[in-house]
Amino acid sequence: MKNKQWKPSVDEFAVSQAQNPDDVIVKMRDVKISFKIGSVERVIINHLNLDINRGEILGLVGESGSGKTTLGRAIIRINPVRSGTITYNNVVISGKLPREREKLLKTKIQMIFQDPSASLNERANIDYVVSEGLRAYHMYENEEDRLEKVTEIMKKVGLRPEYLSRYPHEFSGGQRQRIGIARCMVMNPEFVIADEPISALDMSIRAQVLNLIKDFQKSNNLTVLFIAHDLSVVKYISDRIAVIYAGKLVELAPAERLFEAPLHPYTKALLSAVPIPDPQIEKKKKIIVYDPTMHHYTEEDVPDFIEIEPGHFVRANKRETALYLEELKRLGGEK
Amino acid sequence: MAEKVIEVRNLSLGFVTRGKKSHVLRDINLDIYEGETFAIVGESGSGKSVFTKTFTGMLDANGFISSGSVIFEGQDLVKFKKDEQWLKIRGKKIATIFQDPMTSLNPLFSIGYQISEVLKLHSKPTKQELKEYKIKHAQDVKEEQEKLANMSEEEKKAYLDKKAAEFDSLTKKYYEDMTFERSHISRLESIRIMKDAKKRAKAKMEGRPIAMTSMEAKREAISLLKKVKIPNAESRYKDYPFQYSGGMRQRVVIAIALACHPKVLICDEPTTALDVTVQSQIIQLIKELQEEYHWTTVFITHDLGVVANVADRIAVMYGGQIVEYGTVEDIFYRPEHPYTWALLSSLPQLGSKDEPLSYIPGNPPSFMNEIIGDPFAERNNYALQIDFISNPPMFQISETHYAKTWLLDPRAPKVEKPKVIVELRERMEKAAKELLRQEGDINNEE
Repeated sequence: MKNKQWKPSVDEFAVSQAQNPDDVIVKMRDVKISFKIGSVERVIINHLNLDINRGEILGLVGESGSGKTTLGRAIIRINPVRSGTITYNNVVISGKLPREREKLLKTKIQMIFQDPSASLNERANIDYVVSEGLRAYHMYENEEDRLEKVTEIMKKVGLRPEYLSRYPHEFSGGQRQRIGIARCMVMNPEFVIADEPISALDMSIRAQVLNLIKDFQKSNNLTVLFIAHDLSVVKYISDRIAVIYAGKLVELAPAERLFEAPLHPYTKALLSAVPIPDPQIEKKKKIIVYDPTMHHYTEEDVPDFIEIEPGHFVRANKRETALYLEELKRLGGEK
Repeated sequence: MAEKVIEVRNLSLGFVTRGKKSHVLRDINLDIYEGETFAIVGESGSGKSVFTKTFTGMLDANGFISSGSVIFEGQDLVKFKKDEQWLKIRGKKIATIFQDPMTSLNPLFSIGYQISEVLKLHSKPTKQELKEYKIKHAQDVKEEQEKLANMSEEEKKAYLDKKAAEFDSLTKKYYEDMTFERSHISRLESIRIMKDAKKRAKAKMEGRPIAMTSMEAKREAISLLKKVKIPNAESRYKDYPFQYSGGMRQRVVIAIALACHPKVLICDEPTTALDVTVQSQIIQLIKELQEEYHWTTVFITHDLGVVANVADRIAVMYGGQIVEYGTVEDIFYRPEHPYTWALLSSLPQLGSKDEPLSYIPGNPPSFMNEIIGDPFAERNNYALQIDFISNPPMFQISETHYAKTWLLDPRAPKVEKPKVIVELRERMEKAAKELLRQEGDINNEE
């Protein structure tokens, strides 16, 4: 095995201000993702546009089956994009890529998976699990350098370096998820896709993992796409929140604004489903059920993803836009 | 106060692994009252699932109950040895809904088959009933033969005609019962229904106890599916578990639990594998059905948010012990145990952006070694020296509220509760305001 450090000939993703003035790290334009089951094509995501800014945590929220994981996987090229483009630092990363570019990309984007017990190789010790990425891309000069990198990251995620010789089954759920984060962060990525990293964890250790992700974002100026189904979790961690329903973005707003002024009925339904740890309030509350047929979209008045106030997008047709604007005015008046 | 349904006294339980004994549950005392929703909250590995498994005798083969008793309907469930004894309780009187609906349904059989299987199994006549019937039937046949022998030809004919007419009307009645509220009955199915109706009518006239027939079970299963709000129940009867979504599968599992009208329903983390929108629907469904069927719910979860909605009383479990229990208001508004404080303050709903969320450091204790003192002491910021030496007793705080911590001892120093707990009410109200504001808006729109 060659121990020479791998260096790409040209760093295509290097950021120059001229190239990328608006500081958007991932740009998705008209993205379509579909799967073929036999001869039937099932479209999961269609006509999706989304920008992820550098250094932010973008929360992507939706129910199971809404395509949120599919979207995350499409960015990291696990799922192929049928049409449309995804760009990373203004370089196209969807479709067929030169080998060099694909290799480089995978050192820049990393993923944290949902189930820490299923995503770690149970036959490999933690040293191997954490440094697998380093090995695959020869991102170290020699063995000592690798070990140093791994030890450092273990300390950062709050695990002792002695644990390196242990196996995944010897750890608890929260520790396993921290190993998952260590494995991702050791590559020193610019962009991380966290696919429901805390859904499989106990309430008492969720906070640990959330704090850890937030710390990394601050220290490394990391961009995170945080996928979750629970709005209460996303509210704490993210700067902006995108709500996705049936493969379509229905609302996108800064985190606080979304909680202040939710407009789309699906967002409201999601908010009402969050359990509140207060027996009196919780027993009184009514759950809003979202019915996708309630919009009565006609062919003349097709819905679009419009910017209703600066930074706040909502999926609406002309009739609904008027309604939402009125609602915003009323909410503003209340203040 | 309502009557006690389950009474647990000094229950201790352990497992044997690789020749080593571990003690998982230690000295649990608990009463569960009729008609209430009792929630058990705790981390994974706190022994909450194992505890409820003793109610239905589903303990793993290496588990043993070292002491104590579980009294249900005057019987001590701990003393049960044979499977036959359990069959009368398990599923029939105490039913369980498990966490992952995919593993509790058999992927090889259709949903309808699995529900009707339960219905048929639990309606099976017991050996005792069959024995009684045999004796009675032999007598009846004898009497009838004597009766017929004494009759004249005409009388005999009239008697038999009358019986045949009765049989016909009964068959018609059962046929109508089985097709009630059904649409799309194929020709083949109608023949089957007729056959089962005749079977039932015959059994009725002879007074013979028989299990539910296939078509009766189907009719019942469809009505159960409708009850748990599965759309197009009739056409989905034939579907297999993989054709259902996660939430729908959990509904089917609830339907199976409903089938026998249980007295106690144990929900073992029924919503952990589901997302929030579906979770709220399933909880709503369980609550609605509870009102209709008047069962007692034992709800196991690690999410205190869910508990606030469903529970009447809560027990907090840690390290195989109940550390605090009381009514839902006691636990949420006046928590006394440091572990309950830690659990409540780690809820992301209550966190604010500028401060890091608090969490419980460390791991739950291992059961392989004997635990000395308070099991929570090592992770407890409020631990006293005595916590490392001796296990605290259960202190009574109010009539309904108990906690197991040395902090409540009169000799203990006064400690200030963490900031989040002091501000708990305010924070909850703030969270509620943010999350529920839209309710008013919707009303305004209308």
